[in-house]
Amino acid sequence: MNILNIHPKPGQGVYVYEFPVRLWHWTIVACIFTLFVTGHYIGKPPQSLTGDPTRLFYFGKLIMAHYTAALILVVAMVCRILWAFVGNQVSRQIFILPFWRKQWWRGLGDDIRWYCFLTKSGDIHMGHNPLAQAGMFVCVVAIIFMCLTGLGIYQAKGYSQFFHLFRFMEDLVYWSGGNLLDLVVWHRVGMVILVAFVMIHVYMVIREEIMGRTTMISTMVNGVRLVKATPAEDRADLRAEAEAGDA
Amino acid sequence: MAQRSYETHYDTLRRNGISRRDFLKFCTMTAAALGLGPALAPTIAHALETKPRLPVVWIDGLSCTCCTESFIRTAHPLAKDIILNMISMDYNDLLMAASGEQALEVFEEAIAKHKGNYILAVQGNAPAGYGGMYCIDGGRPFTRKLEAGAANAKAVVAWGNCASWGCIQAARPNPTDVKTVPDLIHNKPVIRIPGCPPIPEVMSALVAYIVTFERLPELDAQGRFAAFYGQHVHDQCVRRAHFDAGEFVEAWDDEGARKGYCLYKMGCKGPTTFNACPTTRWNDGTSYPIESGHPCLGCAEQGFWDQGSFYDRIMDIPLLSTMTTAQKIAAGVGGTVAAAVGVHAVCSTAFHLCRKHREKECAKACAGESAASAQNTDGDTEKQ
Repeated sequence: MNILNIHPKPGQGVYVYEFPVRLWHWTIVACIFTLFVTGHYIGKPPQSLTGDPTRLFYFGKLIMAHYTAALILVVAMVCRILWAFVGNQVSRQIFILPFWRKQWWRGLGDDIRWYCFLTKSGDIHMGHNPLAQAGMFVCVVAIIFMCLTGLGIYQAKGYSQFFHLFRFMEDLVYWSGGNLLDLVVWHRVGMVILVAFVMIHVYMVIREEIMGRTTMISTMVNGVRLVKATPAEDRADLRAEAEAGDA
Repeated sequence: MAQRSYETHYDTLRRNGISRRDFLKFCTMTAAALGLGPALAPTIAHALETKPRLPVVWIDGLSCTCCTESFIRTAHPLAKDIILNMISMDYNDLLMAASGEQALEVFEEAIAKHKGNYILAVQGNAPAGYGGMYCIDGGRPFTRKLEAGAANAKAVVAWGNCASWGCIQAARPNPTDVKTVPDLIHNKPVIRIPGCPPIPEVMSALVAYIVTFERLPELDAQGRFAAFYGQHVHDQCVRRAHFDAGEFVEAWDDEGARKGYCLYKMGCKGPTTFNACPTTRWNDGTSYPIESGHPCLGCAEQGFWDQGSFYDRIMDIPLLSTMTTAQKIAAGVGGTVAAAVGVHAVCSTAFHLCRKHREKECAKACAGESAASAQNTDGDTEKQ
């Protein structure tokens, strides 16, 4: 059964986000938060310390935290992509933009109107609404870009043969006329894009939670999408429509 | 020793007053530098004793000659210096006695005599603009000399950053349309020895390797001599402990600078530069830039002139040809998004409150309506 086609009544809940999807979501939230903070300081180190470098290892620990969070993120992303093959329709949504469907574009138009205050209430979607889906797709692309550039920088340290798989990133920057520093710069630009995404994402989720017609935050916790009661104003509109239809 | 028709490296070294002890020291050092271990030092010594010397023809394109300068400033009388300056160097514009017509003859003679057997070392690069007219050598564009030299060479060595990556001549907007040696030579193996200037020991090790094993050394994906360009400057750096500790130089001549702290915040390019400076060092192992208190400029890397200031870590964005740094993009994008989200949040709150208000009114009206309809129903019943 396609979850995306369910139209539940108000007060009815539908289980949309399976456990692995929720686990992945909160794992990458923790990873990305760690990566923002440590990554920012790796590019612009904090005020210098003094002391015996035999005992101090603060910057080393910062970089270690960055690498650890990054490798967890990479593993989480790989697992998430694999889950998309076995999970439900919602778990696949963020990887495929159905830009060839007219209905999707219509939904996107509706969402944009809703965000421009041109409609009274947003549509009900069991998974992501088309706007959120587009946003999530950009986010996934940005995370993959960050993983590739990051692994490209990491492999140059020559830590393990496994990471040499990502030497093509290094070759790519040399081929394009630059050097490894360009990869570092692009990695930092990617961070900016993700920071912007996180700001918009968090804002939209809170807004939908308050003003929208379905639950958002609790859905990412317990997996259940609950349709709220239709607002009284909309009920009046619906009744007017029904009466007009009868007449 | 049996009489040979040719002279070996060892013969020439002995003729120049190098003792056997010093010769063996050189062989051991070279084996260590190449990462081969002490067991292979006798192999190198044997090869240099028995095989004919490897001729090197060194030509200059569009360059500042700092590669040769680096070379002649090595300490005397080191075997590694002599092995290239006095022995194998069959042609070198700057170091040879001949000049003018004679020099041209020497070049022709060298490439004819050692056909298919010599190493062509190219210092500087070849501008392709105006048919190569920006660099004339012996009355002809340098590109022709390069082609002639490469045609019969065993291998071509792109010596220095100019030859390897283009260096300052190829920096934007590259007015003379500079092409690097690997751009121009396609039918011969090309080895990149980047650096501005490169480390002289790398060249002598390269020659020793080719003589010993009669093959070219392992190269990385960018065609560099893997034994010397396999690691970041950062990962071998003498100041690395300070980096890991979080001890940085904040300004020139501050406390940290005096204590020899890490130069990362002063724009050091060590973390993204592949070279062997910290291990081989310069001038007979005296020092290298970071050890002397200056951040690495990344002179062994492609496009290092185009990446903004030498003293910044966060660099210009490549490809866009702008002076925008990632930091400026962060401020711009972050600020815009934060402002947009803020404005939208305020509008949404207003919209939401209006809707709540209207809903309340509507609910009140609905309640009134249903009460009225209930009354109507009651009235009807009474009438009946």
